[in-house]
Amino acid sequence: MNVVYAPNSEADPKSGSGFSTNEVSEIETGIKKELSAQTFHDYQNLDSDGNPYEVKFQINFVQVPTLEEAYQKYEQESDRTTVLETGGYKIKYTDVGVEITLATTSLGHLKLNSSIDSHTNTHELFHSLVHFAKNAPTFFGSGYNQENQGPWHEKFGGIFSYKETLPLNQQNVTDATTSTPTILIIPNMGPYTEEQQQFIDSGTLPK
Amino acid sequence: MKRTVLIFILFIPFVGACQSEEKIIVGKVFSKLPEYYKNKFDTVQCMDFIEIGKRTSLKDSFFLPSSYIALHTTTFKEILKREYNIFENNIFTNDVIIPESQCFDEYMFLAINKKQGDSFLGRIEKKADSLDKAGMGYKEPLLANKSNLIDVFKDKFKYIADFMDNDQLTLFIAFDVNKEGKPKNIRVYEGDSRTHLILSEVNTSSKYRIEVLRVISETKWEPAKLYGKPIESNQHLLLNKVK
Repeated sequence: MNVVYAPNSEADPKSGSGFSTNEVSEIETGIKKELSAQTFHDYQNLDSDGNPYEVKFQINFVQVPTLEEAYQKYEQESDRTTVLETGGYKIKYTDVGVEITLATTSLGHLKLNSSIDSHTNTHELFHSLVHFAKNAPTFFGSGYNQENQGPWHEKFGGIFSYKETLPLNQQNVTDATTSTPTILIIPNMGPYTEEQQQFIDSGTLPK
Repeated sequence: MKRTVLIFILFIPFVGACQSEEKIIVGKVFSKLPEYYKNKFDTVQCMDFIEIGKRTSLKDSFFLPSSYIALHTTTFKEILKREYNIFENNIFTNDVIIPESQCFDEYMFLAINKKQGDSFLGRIEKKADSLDKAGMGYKEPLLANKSNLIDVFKDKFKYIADFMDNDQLTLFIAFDVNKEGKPKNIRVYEGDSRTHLILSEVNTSSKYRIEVLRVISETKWEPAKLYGKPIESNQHLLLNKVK
């Protein structure tokens, strides 16, 4: 998997991927440390048929001058490329409280919030590897389904467990105290059917 | 008999139009996917996301399609939220966003254009840019003494030591800053930072809640501004292990 990024400019921290070269280096070092420690292993390393498996992969960080060029590279090599961007930090209000998302992964996008939260960053990279890469094993689930989301994280263990706390630093505070984080107020759509309530509670779609 | 026939005739084109709208969205999202992902694309899932978009827009609430979130200014997003009920997010909070969720985004494009007219987002973008150039765009609220909130907590929060070395203890603090620069509607939630879920509002008698209310109530703010005028805004603080 190539992680393509464009360092931000000093004048505009939001330009490019939103991380400086030093921060990307910090992300890369953190991820490689997690990989050397093999934190990606799950509890069983068995596929859905009970057969042992081994995950093989190679991670390269590739620098390009601009984010547009990063997207172009993704267009050319979409089967093995993801674009690094800042963002993904979300706070969601619900009727029962607040849920915080630290980073997000989608097809071709790796949106990280902190250069030092290596567990979360590696966690997201592994979503790219097992859910979106061309050679992703099918037993991880075809794309998205309820079985590989939400509570699945804890069940699967390894790098997918939520372990790290969000370190409190100036960047996090700035993110949390300005209007930068995306805020969702769930509109009052009630009264809910049982299925809709299930969706609201779990964040996954009713079948 | 006549009435029944008339209703039948009117109903058929309506159903047809809805179906074709959904088909167009499914086709559009599918065509943008890399070849290798197309066999993983779930059409049924895509239709579910469109359905959720419909339910949301029926209540006159909209979400800015995610492709707009990264590319536009705070002024743009604040105008949409405050004046048009268009929020900066979609409804999915898992850390994986699947391509099928773009079906929700595409539906939102359609719904926003239906409600506000074609090229609406482009018009607001131009308006926001010109406001920013004139110095009349969105200005974030600032603490009156130019400090930041975490420093205030480090100095004044009686229980800061409890958060210095505790991996689990988390408080999520949210409040509004009114037009006069006074904090109000202070909410305090607690939870387990390892799961990133903060489920319960701290009960009224909690020592943390009482102390948070004291610290926040004593702060003075320069209110947020839009069009050069003070407006109400939200503030948030996540308080957990201090490094």
